Amino acid sequence: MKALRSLLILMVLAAPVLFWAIIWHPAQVRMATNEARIREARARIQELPRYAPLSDQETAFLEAPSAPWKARLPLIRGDRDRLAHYHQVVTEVDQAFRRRALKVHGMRSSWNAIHASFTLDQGLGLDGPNGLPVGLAQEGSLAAWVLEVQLDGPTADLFTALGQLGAMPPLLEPVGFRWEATPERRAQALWLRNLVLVPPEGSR
Amino acid sequence: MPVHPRSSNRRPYLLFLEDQGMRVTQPDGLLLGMIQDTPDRSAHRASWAEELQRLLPKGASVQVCIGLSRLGVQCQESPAMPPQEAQAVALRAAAADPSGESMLVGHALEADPEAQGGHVHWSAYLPTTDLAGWSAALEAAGLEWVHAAAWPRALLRGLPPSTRPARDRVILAMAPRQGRVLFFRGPSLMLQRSFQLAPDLSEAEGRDQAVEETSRTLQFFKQRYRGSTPGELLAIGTGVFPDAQVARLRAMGLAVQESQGTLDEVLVRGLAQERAPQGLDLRPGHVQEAHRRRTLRAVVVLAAVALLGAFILGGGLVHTRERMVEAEATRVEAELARRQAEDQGRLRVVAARFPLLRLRAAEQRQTQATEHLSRLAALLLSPPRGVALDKVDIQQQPGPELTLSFQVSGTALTGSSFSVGPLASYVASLQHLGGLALDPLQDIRVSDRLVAGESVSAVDPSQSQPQARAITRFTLSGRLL
Repeated sequence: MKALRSLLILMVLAAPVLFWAIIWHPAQVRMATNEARIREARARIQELPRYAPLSDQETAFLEAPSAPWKARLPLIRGDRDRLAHYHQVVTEVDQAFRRRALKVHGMRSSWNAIHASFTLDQGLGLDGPNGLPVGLAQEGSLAAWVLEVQLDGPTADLFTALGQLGAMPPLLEPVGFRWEATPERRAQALWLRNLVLVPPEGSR
Repeated sequence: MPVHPRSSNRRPYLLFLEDQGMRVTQPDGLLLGMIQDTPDRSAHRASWAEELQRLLPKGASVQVCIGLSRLGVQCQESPAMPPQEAQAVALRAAAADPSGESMLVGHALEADPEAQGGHVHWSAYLPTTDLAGWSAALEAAGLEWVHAAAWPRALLRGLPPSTRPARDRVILAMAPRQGRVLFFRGPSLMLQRSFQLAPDLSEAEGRDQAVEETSRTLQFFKQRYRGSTPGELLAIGTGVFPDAQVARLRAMGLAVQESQGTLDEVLVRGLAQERAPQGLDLRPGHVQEAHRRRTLRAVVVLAAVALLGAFILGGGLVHTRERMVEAEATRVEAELARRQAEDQGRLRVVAARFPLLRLRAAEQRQTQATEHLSRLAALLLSPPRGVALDKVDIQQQPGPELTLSFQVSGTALTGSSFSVGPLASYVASLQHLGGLALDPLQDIRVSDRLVAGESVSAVDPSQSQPQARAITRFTLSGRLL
């Protein structure tokens, strides 16, 4: 009887300990590992941004080689392209202003980059060199040059000229405005910045 | 080979042990057989085991109801007490028996709110020799002896429930050859007497004898317990009393109630209740010990099985939960891999969209720059009367923010009294433009000058004369954010 009672007590006491040691604790350790895997994976999933994939229509629009929008930021590979582009911009500005009866006194330009930098939103994922996404280096980085357009005529012509900028194919951003009327001299001019793409440093 | 009736619901077979022998019944009281006792017990004991084996299946559990005439019962009012103390009280009662024989002892405690101490302690004892032969026969027959009840206890526990039983009452219990008269005060047995019935007596004659025995016992009871007058008689197994006998019993002060069932039905009910742990048990010590050992062994086995089952069940649940978590981890990691693969695609999508986004941003900046520059230039070129501008120069400042710096130079004329009023008006008009910040005026030169004015006399132009005016040359600078 005593042995049976002892055996019963031993069983009742030892069973939970054995269960904990053999089954529960190892399983808890393994589950804790797996739960850590789940937490880490979920945290990394949360870090990944969501985005809308490209539709076929959008892909066709973006990848069309002769898309009109691509001409507004042309790729300038050398002096030949540069001269052609300069000629095109000057011609289109001249024609657009003449259509509005504006008297262009003269033009001058400089290809030196100005410090008034053109910047893009950081949220676009610009993590490559020159602020370009990885894989885009071969497409070129932004560069700018400034065209000064000197106008004759009344002061109001300056504002008329400013109103014409958005309608011209070259992308011209007004960065300077000069008006001078002294007894010795009368002059008025607009400084227009044009953006182009140039090959990356290594490929020039 | 005998066909044994099966014990239903594992209830034990019932063995009613009386002076004449042992009646063997099914659990519901149906008679299976009778084993006769004789004065020369040793000659017949060997055959008892064979008879039991013939009547009962091997290993069947049995409950014995002891109704031997040498069974002693003592009831006394007592407080509640632990089992060890109750056992000691029963042993003392058995030791007081004048026979001096070794006794089997059993005890039980009944709650009785009207008793002093709130309880009635039952002590039952029986000479060991009276049960030794039967005990050996049960063991030899391979039967499991689960309980041994005292006959008066079985009767008391099996009585039909009464709404308002009398405190003192008489039970008249009639068997085919024997009758018993028992006096109860609450659950306490005060007095019992048994009497034999001749085999050739008719039922009516048996009732006559029972009434006569009841009358005599009642007289004895009244003498022994003065002041106690039982007011109720419950007759079991007597059939219907004729009116004359009812009248006689009423004359004794007893209200007669006739039980509908038989005595065996009452005993079967009572024996079932007595099997409970708090019942009175008269089995020999070694039988109880063996039974306890078997019970404990069964408990150990059951506990082992239950623990093993709990191990398996718990392990299964834990394993299932673990598999679920592991599957979830695998699923989430696969989701992560898929999203990372998609993220590679995201870079391609961004790369594809980048040129157009860049162009749209440039166009937006062109629109904003044009609007800013036009607004500032229009404001600067609209001086108030009395201010003449020489030069307006506006430049966009480097940096991502659209900031314009400007410089304005000109001349402000005043009236005859010295004043910079028109220049102040010009500066004030500039400050109305939101986001415009003027630098401190640094280059201001004031000088008097003779300016050719209008003719004083319209009739004679020769009388025109120069008019003195104050002239303020200024240079303004600032920026528009």
